[in-house]
Amino acid sequence: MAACPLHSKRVSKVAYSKLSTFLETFSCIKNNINLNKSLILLCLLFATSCTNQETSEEIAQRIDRSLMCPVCPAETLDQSQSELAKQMKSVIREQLSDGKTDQEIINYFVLRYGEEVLSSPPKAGSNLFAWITPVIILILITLIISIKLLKKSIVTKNEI
Amino acid sequence: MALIGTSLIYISLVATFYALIASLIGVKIGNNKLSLSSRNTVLLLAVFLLAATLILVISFVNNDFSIRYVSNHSSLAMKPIYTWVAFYAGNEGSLLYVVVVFAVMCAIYNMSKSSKTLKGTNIILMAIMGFFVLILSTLANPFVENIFIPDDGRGINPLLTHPGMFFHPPMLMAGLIGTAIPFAIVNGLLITKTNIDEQIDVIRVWVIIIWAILAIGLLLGSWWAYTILGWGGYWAWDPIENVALMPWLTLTGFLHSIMAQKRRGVFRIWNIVLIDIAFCLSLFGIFINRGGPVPSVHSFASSDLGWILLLFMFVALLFSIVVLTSRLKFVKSSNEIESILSREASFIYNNILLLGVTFVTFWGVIYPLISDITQGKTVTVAAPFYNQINGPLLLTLLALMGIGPLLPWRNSSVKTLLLAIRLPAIFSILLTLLLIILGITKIYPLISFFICSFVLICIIREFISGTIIRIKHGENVFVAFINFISSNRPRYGGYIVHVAIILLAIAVTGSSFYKLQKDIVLSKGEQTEIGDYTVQYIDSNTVKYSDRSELFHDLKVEKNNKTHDIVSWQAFYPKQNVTTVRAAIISTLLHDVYIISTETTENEEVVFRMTINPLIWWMWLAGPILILGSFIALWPEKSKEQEYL
Repeated sequence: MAACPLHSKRVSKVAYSKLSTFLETFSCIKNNINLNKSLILLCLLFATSCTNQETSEEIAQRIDRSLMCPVCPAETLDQSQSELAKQMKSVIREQLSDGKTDQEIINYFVLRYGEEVLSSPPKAGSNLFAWITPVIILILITLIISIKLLKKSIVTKNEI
Repeated sequence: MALIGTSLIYISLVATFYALIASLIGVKIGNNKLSLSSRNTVLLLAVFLLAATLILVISFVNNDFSIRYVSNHSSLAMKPIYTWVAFYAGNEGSLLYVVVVFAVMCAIYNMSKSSKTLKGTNIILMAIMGFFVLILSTLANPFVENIFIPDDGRGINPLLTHPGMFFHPPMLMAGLIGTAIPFAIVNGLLITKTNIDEQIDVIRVWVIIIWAILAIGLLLGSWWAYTILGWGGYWAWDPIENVALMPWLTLTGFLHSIMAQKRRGVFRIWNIVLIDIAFCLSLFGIFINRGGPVPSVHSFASSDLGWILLLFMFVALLFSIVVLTSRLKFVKSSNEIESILSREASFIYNNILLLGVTFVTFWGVIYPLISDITQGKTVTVAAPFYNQINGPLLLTLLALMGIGPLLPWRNSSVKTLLLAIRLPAIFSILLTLLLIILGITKIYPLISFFICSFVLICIIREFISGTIIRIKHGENVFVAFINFISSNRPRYGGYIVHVAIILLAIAVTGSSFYKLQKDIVLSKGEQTEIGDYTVQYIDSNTVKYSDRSELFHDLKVEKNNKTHDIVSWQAFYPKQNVTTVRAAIISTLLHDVYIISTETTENEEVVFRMTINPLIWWMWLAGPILILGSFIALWPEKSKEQEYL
């Protein structure tokens, strides 16, 4: 091994040899690109294989956050402490225990209070525009600038 | 008293217009005496406005209810210390506050050395000041008198009696109006065709200060919302929050791309555009704050003032465009970006992302108005919209925060970059695997923690290697580290700010994805469980005051045989029909146990909201670290120190 700062310190021989074995494994990993790739793969496998079951209350709280309190200025059901919000929250939990899905419950409230009760525009119909516009503009700008930069890079590379 | 106050405001108006005209003519005909006279007038202006402020404060302290603003925002029962918040509780007072802060900033600027050479700045500063003082003297005079003097005032809004309220609004308002200073400097330089590159350091120092003030204002707002609003969150993408965020994001972009201008003379036009946008967004923010058309939990008293401010914003926008387009040739960059793998290019992407989030946020704020005009119905745009679009953008920005500093200026190769990221990437992969083993399996937080650890390791690596080099030259470790940081203060101060951002990201990730929440009704003695904790509601006491009744709930929280006795607090103000709450919080490094009582039922049962908020404490730690980093970053080079003082 190259000059190691540990040499100048008083470390017991046993601990040092353990450390150097550990570090050797490390540099082995470091130098083995394939192992790096498989590590990444393993990582992703772990992550995506684990399904996360939401409890009923978690689903209810998620729905709370998706609906606005109709009588409060700019508060979701989750944030609001008004009477109506409380009633709506208990209706949500009732319907969940009756077996309704979250989309059915949300539709129920939209039917009664209009689309304004949703805390964000529905991703359908004319309001898809709300979601798509900023994303498309951003993608376009990034693409245009990136292409310009890549062209410059090629020019620079050719000059060298 | 009221008469003196009003007179001072009128005098300030006269002084402002004098200073404006003097600086304008001074520049036009090249008369230095006029420019000097305008500079001195600005200093006088600050004195007049401070005097007016003092009069208002004295009126509050003396409970002078002949003044309408005082009777609307205080009462005999109000403790004198709350005069501080009562001052900016309403339209007129907060406008006076903005004007006074702006005047003090203008005075500080005019005392600095650079103001002697930059003669165009005062023209713009005084034009902006003129607008605000004009409104103050005509539409929003805080010294208007009551026709009938009431025996007692209406009292202060109880939500304002939280310590956070002593600092959050004044800091935010100071930050917003503060964007006027760099705006005036930059546009003043353009108008007088003075070289901008030589003034980069002056502009940069002002922007860092304003940027830091806005950051602290935003953090304090989050802290206030967390402890007092009762829903356990700290950021709701509410329109008022958004309009303070947008100028801050724009200035963040500027602080990065200005380094490229300093080093390589690029982005000259773009940096001016950023400063112009930041100021216009601040005006937009002040407009939304004053009874704008978008509903918010924050709205100040609604008034026509809002639309006048919007008009002024368009004037400022038009002005910026005219000035910039007429000076395009003068300002154009001499150099070009050479490669996509360069520090300059990373700043381009940094700006795209930051301005991207700004645009998405702006879009979300105005979309309800757009949908109202185009479809006839007001669509609500709240947190889910912003989280789903801004989330990935901010995460990408975080990753860029790690890679950008690894890229050298001008040009680099893929090979060099891969070599640089190898070690931090491996460590971060191992850490992520460890997190998975420990039970953290949601994909989003895993990516976030991976990126956070990557960036942190890159920074620590650079700190360690730089310090070790100095240690080898004989310095001891503490001196070596400090000298190392000091050797390139903009860069390493910036890294320290990056550390603060990482802490913020860690806190946001933990609390967003692993929060446990439970709303439950408990009667005395009853207990419940949340996470690993057992919470028992013991008892309640009521304490009555002249203007409110306070309700204390004693709670016992237990985990692993360790007990905490905490109190959750509510206060009801019958006069204003408002209830305020204070959360009972047990803070650890790993999470907060957060309990808030929202109401009491007829059966003397109490409704509690209990949450376990992972990693929140790190958010508050980010604040001081951010201030430290900003302070280091703006500290000028030794040789140039004389120029600023």
